[in-house]
Amino acid sequence: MTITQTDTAVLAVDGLRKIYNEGTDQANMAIDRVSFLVEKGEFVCIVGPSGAGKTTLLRCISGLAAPSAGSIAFEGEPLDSVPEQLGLVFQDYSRSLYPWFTNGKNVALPLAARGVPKSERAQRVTQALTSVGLGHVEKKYPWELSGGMQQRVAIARSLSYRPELLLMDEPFASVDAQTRFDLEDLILKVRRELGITVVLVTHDIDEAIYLSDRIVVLSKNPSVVKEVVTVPLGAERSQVETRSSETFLELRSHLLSLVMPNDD
Amino acid sequence: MSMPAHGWIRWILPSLTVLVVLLFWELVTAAGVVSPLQFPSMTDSLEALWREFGSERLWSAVGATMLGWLIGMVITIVLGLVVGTALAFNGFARRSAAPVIELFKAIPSIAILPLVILVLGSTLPMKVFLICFAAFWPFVIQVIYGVQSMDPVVLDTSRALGVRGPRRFFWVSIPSASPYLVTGMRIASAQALILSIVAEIVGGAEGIGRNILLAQNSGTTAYPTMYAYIIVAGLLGILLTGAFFLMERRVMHWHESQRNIRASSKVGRA
Repeated sequence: MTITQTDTAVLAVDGLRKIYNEGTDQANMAIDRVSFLVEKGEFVCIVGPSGAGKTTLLRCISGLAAPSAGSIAFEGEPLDSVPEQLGLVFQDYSRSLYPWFTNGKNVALPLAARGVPKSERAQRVTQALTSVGLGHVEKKYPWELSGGMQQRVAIARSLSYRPELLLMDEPFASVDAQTRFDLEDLILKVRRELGITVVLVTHDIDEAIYLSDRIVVLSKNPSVVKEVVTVPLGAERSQVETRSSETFLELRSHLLSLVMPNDD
Repeated sequence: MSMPAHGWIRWILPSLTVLVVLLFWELVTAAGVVSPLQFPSMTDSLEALWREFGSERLWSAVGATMLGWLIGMVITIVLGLVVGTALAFNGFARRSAAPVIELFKAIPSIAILPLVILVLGSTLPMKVFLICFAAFWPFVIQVIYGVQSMDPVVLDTSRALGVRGPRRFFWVSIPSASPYLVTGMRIASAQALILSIVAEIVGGAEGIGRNILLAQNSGTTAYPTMYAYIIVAGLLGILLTGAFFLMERRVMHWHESQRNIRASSKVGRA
């Protein structure tokens, strides 16, 4: 990688390694050597066979877990905790949304932590909820909403403070298929409107192709980057046409051959 | 068969049971099965209770008992939350403190009563110290369990959102641990009431307990009054339990257990 590239990258992962229980008998290397760049405005998906250190990688690049070796830079700064300008969406919305707060209070939480004055918060909360297609749920509790709506609230919460980078860990894995399509289109729309950079971890190859500009394919445990696949599907995508296009199907079989466990 | 969902049945049945027990009491004393000198009749006891309800000394005794309970509970809860949370987050401190907590928890508070009376006398501080000693240990253990059992996703979320310091304590740790905290408070409250009355009976501090003892010492004619005060102590216990039950329903309305109760009562009504 050249210096100019690293400078413009929102996220630069270089030689990342993560070993759990390092130095004990149960030492387990989840990630061996992972390097990739995410440019500003890009949508990058991370895929890999189940058991590949996808979630581990996401925990490292979000600053929740410290890498054993290698470096991670967020906007050129080395990462040592979760940066203020980073949004994180977890798979399990029912646990990551706080049931003791209303949806409005949940969304306002990061705003309060960032010192946004109270008078401004209500307006920002409504704005964030509207941007994910929700209105009038501020006074309700998360558990009064459907799963898909709860994940929308979680997305709104991480958008409310206008992060530079949105990291998502299997965000649509716990909702039904129809809701999943809706949420995929929602995140594409949000990304287009806000010009936000997105990194999304998924085990679903179709989802990765449908959403991404580039796909980072991980090998199985311990993970290395097998290939970075560029997705030339353009900016406008639609569930019916994109998924049946020639390019989509070619990418699909290429990625499947990369991820299937019996070919190496 | 499921219980009929009519509200009045839920009140009538327990009231009937109480009535049956009271009648049985009256019969046993009236038939002379037990000596009325040791065991006054229900009517005499309730009459004494009625008389005491109209008197100043009952209410000042209740006030003194409740004051000890309240101060003891406030100290226990504040200290328990601070110490418990600190220990839950610090493994080294927790492992060091565990044997001390287990030891102090194992000492029945009544065992240190003579010592406390010796140092503090028959005073309110004596009562409060005893209450705290009985209530603090079980409560602090609940706080440690509660904070430790916090879902890792909940903690990760607070880190990802940048919620830290006092905000994290009040907005994340406390609500997340609250199922354990309310249980701990209920246990602490029962302990506090018991020790409050013990401190009054044995330690001679002002309150319901001392009035029980005074009535006992005033000869057989005052026995119904003694029973009246025993009943008052019981009623106080029921009142506190009920208050905690209502508080739990209000504060924990978001919790799964409360949601399930609401859901099942809705089905019952339909």
